[in-house]
Amino acid sequence: MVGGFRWAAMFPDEVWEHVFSFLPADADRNAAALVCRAWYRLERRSRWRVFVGNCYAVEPAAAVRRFPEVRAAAIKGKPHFADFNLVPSDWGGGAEAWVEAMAEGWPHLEELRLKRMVVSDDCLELIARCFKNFKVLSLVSCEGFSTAGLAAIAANCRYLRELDLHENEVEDNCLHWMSHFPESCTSLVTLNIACLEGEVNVSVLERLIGRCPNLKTLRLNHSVPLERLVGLLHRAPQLVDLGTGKYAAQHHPELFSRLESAIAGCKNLKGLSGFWEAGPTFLPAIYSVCEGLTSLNLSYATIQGPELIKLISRCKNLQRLWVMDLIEDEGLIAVAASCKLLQELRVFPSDPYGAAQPISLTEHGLVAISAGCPMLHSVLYFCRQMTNAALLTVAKNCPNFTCFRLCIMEPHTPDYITRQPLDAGFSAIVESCKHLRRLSLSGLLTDLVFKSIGASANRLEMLSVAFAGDGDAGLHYILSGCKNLRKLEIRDCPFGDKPLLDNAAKLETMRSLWMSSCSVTLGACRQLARKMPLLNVEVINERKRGLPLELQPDNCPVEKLYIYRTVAGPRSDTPSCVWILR
Amino acid sequence: MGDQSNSPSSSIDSSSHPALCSTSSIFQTRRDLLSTDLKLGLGLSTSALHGCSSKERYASCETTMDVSPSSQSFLPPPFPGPYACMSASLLRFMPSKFSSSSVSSMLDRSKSFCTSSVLWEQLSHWPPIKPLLRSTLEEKVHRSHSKTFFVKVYMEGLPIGRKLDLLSHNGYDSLMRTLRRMFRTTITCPDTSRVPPEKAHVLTYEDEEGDWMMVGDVPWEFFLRTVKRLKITRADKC
Repeated sequence: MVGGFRWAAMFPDEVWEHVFSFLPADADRNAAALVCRAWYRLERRSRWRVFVGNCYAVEPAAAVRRFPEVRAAAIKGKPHFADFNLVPSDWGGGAEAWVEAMAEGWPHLEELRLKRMVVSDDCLELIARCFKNFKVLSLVSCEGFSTAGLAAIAANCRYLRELDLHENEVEDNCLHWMSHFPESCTSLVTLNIACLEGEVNVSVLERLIGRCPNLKTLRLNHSVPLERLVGLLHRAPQLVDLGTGKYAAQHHPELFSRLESAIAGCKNLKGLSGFWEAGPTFLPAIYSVCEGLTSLNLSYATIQGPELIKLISRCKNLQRLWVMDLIEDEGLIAVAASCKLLQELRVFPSDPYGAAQPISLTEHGLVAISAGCPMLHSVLYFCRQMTNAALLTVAKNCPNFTCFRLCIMEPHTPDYITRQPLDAGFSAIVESCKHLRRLSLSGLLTDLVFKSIGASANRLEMLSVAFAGDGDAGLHYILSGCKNLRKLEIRDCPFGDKPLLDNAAKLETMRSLWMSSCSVTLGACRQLARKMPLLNVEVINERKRGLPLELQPDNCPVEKLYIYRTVAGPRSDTPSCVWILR
Repeated sequence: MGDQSNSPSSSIDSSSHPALCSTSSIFQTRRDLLSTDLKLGLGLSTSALHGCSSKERYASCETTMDVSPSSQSFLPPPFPGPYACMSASLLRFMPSKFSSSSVSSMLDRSKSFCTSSVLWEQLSHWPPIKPLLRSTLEEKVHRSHSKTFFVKVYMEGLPIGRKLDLLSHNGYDSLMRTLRRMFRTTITCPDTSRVPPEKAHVLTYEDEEGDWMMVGDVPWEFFLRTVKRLKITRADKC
């Protein structure tokens, strides 16, 4: 067996770096780095893209030190259930520590993507000041900053290509932040301001996009009136992805024809979104580009079924469709007939709290889509009823699912025909879909479904469970199976201490585990923390905010539990509602 | 048994919330088993939430939620059909006066029960939709449900009047149908009616100038703007 040093000396460093450049996947690079010290050294110097799935898994300074040549970094903060307000607002996920370390060690950073982090205006100012070559800022589901911070980015990032603000909570305190883009800024390729709540100076925006000939993605916020959309489109006919602003106005035929021709003028348009307050009046204005559309997001448009059908039947090349459940089964049947290239479908609830008229969106719509769209691999479906038979049919029709998320809105809903749990249906999904990476369960489910998942879902990376299971066995099946499980999030299930303690080692192979409103006690968490030093066991108890951990008895029930592997040890920014057990 | 915090906001008047009325009445029928009222840590109703930004809304929901730690894996009770039933999570809000053994002994795993969706929304951050979509939908609901316009309706000869929400109707036909149902009489237009004038009734309204006018002459939207109250009078008076 050739020794490490001689292996590496076969070729000069540059050749190895060139070889490694063909390993884009982090997992492959990580594996290469473990081969020998020489490769570790070579690989770390040649890695320029880093993904940190949990900002607390590693010290920022350590990451920056190990990979000195990084140009693009992506970091995620809060657990996924923070999207549904299950995580206290002061839990953490602050970006300062990372931005400061990066400013220090990665002055050539060009791209930064942050998800579910708390980003302050100071962070944005630091980014704007320290990274001379900064090109891409993407903030997804973040909070803590204002338009003043955006002004700093606009003013100082001379080569800015992408400003992608997706579903953030942004305080609006600087009305004219967009005026801070200098006249010399002509490099924008992506500008997504859809989540901003405040007014936007459309004239400034017009001038900005007028001088950015490479602009491909423009997503406006709902303050941009429909009349002004026409002018914007005239200045950017090269757009590939458009998010409209408010898609409603006083009807007059002149506006309609101007809008229609402006949209028709965008010959490269592939994606449409926005459509706030859209009604049937102006929808036909987009008919001319429907044939070329690959992505259509109508999830903010409360348009009724018939109009939706008229629109979507024209979109023969659609690959991604996000729509409200107002499309109903009939609409989905039409989609199944027209959109043969459909890959991803998301159906959102127009009335999640059941106050209005019932919508006729049932399991039939899902079955129709599964039968009619052979390339379908990703589904998010909110509905009120389901049957095992339907799920079995879907599983048979679509063995290629990579992501299946079904949300039956009333918890514990059984098969409405047989009154049985939906174990059989979901089991069929995991047994048939061998490439399933993401799964969300709902409806009435016993431990049996978890037995199937544990046994069959070998590629599963993320599992979301709510209001399911009978007892500890359910969790045990998951943790003792699911070889590739990375993220497990559980709420309101009767899972207790035993499966956690019995499967402690598994938790180190995963990124994180979230359990809320289950049956875990503090004592078990203490035991787990003692047993597994490479895990941070965070107990979140908002009712006991500020109370000393040492005085709590072992049988104290745990409201919320977040466990994640880390090489950084306990974090230092825990709020009063979080105890980190060691 | 875990401790029970009793913050001042931890109990709400159950009669103010329609969904809770039905649940608290369930507890009254099972008084032999459950000896106290339901206490919930909600200081907010849906309408109160609309004033604040989505972030404030959720933050305040969380801080007033009062989760009792006493119970572990409460299971839904076997309530039959017409009663609004409670789910496991809701039962956790019961104060620890019940020993967990007495409660869990009466509960058994029932697979057929319903929950009050409104309660779910307020208490459990369910279904899982993102804040932006949630606030967009809430705005829509607010816009469509916030307007009511109740006017008094009297029928000649009856001293006690009724009240009617004009905005829940979309035109005169709908209004007439409701009034006929409410007062059990035919209301007609006197010029087209074949019923002798002594027996027929017509609908009149008082406008903003204080004049009594026949209903139906002006467009519905205009009518809504000027009407103050309604009166059903005998046709021969017109």
